[in-house]
Amino acid sequence: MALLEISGIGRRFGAVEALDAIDLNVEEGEVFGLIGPNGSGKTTLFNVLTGVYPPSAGQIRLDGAEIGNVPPERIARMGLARTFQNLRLIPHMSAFDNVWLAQHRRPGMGMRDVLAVGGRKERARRDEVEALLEQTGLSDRRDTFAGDLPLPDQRRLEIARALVRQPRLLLLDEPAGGMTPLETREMAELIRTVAAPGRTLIVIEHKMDLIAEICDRLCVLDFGRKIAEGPPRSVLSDAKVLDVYLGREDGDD
Amino acid sequence: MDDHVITVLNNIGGFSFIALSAYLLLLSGEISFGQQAFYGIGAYASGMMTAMFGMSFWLALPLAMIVSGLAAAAVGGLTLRLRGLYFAIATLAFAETIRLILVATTWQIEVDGEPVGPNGSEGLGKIRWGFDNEYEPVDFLWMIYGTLGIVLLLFFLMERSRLGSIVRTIGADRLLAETQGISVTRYKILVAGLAGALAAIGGAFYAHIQTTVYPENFDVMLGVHSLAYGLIGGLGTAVGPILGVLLDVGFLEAVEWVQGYRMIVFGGLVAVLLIFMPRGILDERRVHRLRTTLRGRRAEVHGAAGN
Repeated sequence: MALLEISGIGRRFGAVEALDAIDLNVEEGEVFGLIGPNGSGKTTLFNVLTGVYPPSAGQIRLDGAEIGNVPPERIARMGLARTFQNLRLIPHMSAFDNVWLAQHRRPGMGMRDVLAVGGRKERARRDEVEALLEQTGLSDRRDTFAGDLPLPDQRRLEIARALVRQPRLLLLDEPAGGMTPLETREMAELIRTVAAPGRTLIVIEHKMDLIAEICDRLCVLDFGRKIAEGPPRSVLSDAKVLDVYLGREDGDD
Repeated sequence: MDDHVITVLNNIGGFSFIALSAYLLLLSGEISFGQQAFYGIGAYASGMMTAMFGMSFWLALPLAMIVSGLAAAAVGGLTLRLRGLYFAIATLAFAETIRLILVATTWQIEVDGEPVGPNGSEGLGKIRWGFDNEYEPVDFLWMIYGTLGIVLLLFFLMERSRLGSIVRTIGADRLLAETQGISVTRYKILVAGLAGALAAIGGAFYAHIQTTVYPENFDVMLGVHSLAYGLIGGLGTAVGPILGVLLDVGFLEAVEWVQGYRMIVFGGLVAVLLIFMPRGILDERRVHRLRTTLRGRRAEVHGAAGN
C-alpha cells in the first residue's frame, strides 16, 4: 500500500477547474517531484492535501486513512508537514522560536505538554530544535529574527520548521525558489540529507536540474491535469512535457 | 503615602488587569472593544456576592472570575467566525448590550433591613465588605498588587510555555497555526475565557474600593483605553500593557498641565506611537534584544544581512 493515495481528486474555484481527476500514488521513502507551468495546480494540490481547501471530488488516503475532508490541524497531526512557496515565517520571532512553535502539537503531545515550562522532556525537545537548526545550517542565526534572514535561510528555516514535526510525509513547495545556482545546489544537498533516513517527500520545483537530481519519480501537471508520470529521465524527455515547457512562456525562474 | 497617591496606585493596579486582558486577546490576533463588559461583570458579580449574600471577597473574587470567564468564552465561541473589524464590532455590541442589561435590571433583597442589589442606572451600592472588615485604601493597595504579582508571574510562565507561543502563532498567522496541528478554535475560546477572567479581577477590586458601581462605569471608553494600553506599552511582554497604564494613569494624571487635556494628550500619544512603534514601546524586537543581551548571547537581531 502506498503512503499517499490520491484518486480522482478535483478542485474547482467557481468555473475554474484547478485540479481535474488527479490520480497519484506516493510510496513510502520516495522523493516525488511535482512539476508543471505556473497555474497548473501544483500548489493547489498541496493545499488540498494539507486540508487548506477541501477537494471538490475524489479521495485522498494517508497511510490508508481518508484525509479528504479532515481539517488542516488534524491532517498535520497525522504526520503531514509542509513548507510554503511564499514563506509563512513569523517575522518578529527568532529562527529558534519559529521552529519551536511548530512542534506544539506534534503527534502524541497533549495539554500537559502545552502548559509545561522547563523539565527534561522540554529540554530534549529544545535540543531537537537546535539539532535541526544545525542540520539546516542556521545554528549561528538561531537568535536572528526570521524576517531579517536572507531568502535562502528563510527557505531553510521553513524546512527545519516542517522537520521538527517529524512528518511521515513532507511537502516542499519550491524550496529553491528565487535562489542562485550555488544556493540551489546547497538546497539539493540539504533535501538529500532530509530524505536520507527514508523520509517521504513531495517536492514542487521549477528548477529541472534540482528535480532531476533528487527525485525518484515525477508527475507533470498542466491546467490541473496529470500529463505524465514516471522516473525523471523518461518524463523529462516526454514529448508532451517538452511541449508544455518549451512551447509556452514560463514566467517563473 | 497620601490618599491621592494611593488612589492613583490603586487605579493603576486595577486597570492593569483589564489592560492585560485586552493584551492577551491582542496576542491571539483579536482586537476587542468589549473587555469593559467583563470588567463590569466582575464588578457586579463580586459586589453582589459580598453585599447581598455576605460572602468573603476572597471567595467572591474567584467566583466572579469564573462567571466572567464563562461569559467571555461563550462570546468567544459565538464570534469565532468573525475576523478583524467584524470581531471588534461584535465585542463592542456585546459590551453595550451588557451595560444596557445592567441599566434595565433591578434585583434587590433585604440585608440588615435595607434593600441591596443592582438597581438599574442607580447602580449597585452598599458593597461594604471593605468597611466591615476595616480595610483602608492602603490595604486594598497590597491586595491589588499582590494579586497583580501573581497574575504577572502566571503570565510570564504562560508566555514561556507552549501555550504562549501557540497564542502568538495564532495571532501572527492563523493558517500557519492550523498547519502546525493547532486547533485554533479551541485556543481562541480558551484565550477569550482567560481574558474575561482577567478583566473581572480589575472589576472586582474596583467595586470593593468604590463601594458603589454604575453601569456607566463600564462604557466603551474603558474598553478603548484597555486596548490602547497594550498597543502603547508593547506587545512583546506582559510588562507592556502595564507600562501603558503607567503612562496614562500614572504620568498623565499626575502631571498638572495635562489636566483637562488628558484625553487629547492620550489620543495624540497613541497616534504618534502607532506611527513610529506600530507594536508598542516594548515590542517583540526590543524585548528579544533585551533578553539576548541579558542572557549574554550574541544578539544578531540586526545582523545577518547579505549572507
